Amino acid sequence: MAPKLLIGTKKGGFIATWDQGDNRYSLSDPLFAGWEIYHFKASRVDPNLIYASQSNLWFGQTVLRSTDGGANFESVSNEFTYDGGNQTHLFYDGSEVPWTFKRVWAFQPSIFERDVVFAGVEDAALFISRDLGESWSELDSLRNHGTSKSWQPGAGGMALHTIVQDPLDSDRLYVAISAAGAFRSDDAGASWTPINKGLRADYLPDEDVEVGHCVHRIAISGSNTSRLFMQKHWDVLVSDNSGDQWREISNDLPSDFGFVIGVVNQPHETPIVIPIKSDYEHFPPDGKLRVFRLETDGSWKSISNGLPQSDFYGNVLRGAMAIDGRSGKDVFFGTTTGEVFASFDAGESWSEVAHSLPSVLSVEVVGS
Amino acid sequence: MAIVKLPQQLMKHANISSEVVIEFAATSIGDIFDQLEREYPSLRGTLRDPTTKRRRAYIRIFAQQQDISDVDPATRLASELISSNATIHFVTAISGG
Repeated sequence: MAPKLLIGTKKGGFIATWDQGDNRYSLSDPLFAGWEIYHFKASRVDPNLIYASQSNLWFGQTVLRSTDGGANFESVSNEFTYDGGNQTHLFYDGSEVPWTFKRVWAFQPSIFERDVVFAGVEDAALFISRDLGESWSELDSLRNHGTSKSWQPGAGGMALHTIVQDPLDSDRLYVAISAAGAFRSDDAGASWTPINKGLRADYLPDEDVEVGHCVHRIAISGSNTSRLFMQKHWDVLVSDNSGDQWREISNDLPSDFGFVIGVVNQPHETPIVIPIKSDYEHFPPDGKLRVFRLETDGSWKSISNGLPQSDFYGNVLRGAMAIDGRSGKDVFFGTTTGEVFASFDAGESWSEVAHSLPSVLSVEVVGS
Repeated sequence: MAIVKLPQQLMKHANISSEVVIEFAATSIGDIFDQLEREYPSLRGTLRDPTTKRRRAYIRIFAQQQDISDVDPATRLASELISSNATIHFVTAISGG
């Protein structure tokens, strides 16, 4: 049976469940209607434990939690207080501005402990709750890293948007921040190391600069957890040493700009990406919504059977693709034009889960 | 006792089905916030920032139709604004298209 999906959109959340009789997904009524749901994610340890990041312009950030698989939600703490230390970062124009909480971009319920959940927020910082979201404290050594005074926002804000736990090492965490870069902790968040060597960008005159990189997403290999993949503002990269060094693998992609990256395990373990034309044309090249898979010879193959291949001008945002880690072949993504697509064969063929939704911000697989 | 009118979206968020009638011990805007958040914990941080306690920028507050949004939260309000059966109205900006 296909897994349950959590879909966060600009105007609410949806739960998609597989209807065995109709052999297709059916969609819930809108949850949290009218609110932006930046992230909507279940715990791997307890799939009935779900967090939703709910925010809007008028009422700020709230955090919702379900302990019954999404039947009921309750508010938990929305107090994200920066824990002193460094007080400013750079604005777009280079001026210094104070760190100000804006919203939660990402939750990562711990894959080791049920009661622990991480939150990545804008302005970029990492918070942890050890009591199911009832209270939050900052893992402040990240924001107080010596480089953080020079962090600047990307176009979408200065957000910590990606949190990855090493499945074999509970002390090892990775985060990605736009536009600072990727960071690794080997001591459960007590200290952090920038891991951006090998990243290049036209907008950074110093090729070896430690931070300033607009990392869009990182994904971890299931079979070799020291192997990471990255979709950067431009460029797709791989690291075989836990981020200590990166090398570009964009090769013949029609565009190496994009937001999402994930790892499938068929026909072999390899990354997939969805190329977007450029940083100012946020739609796929040639109006074709295509997923590309890295082949063993280093080339990229389009695996897009069933996806719109003309006149498609939506985007796929960084949190809007999910791969079921249990199967490694069930892939789901949503678009800013409101479609959600599914593949049950690692991208070889695609079918529609939903259409005409509000702009999709996040897609997650329950239990993955 | 006072009647508090909240934006519809917040009422839904807090599972409030009609206008809120609170036994009113408030003498200031800060008291009003405190009392609302105590009785409806899911409102915490929605009408004012949970850390700075500042009113959210896209919300204004009226008491007996008088705009009290910018009154210092600790300042005691005029008695007629918080008298029995007064109406406290939280209004959201019409913005966002």
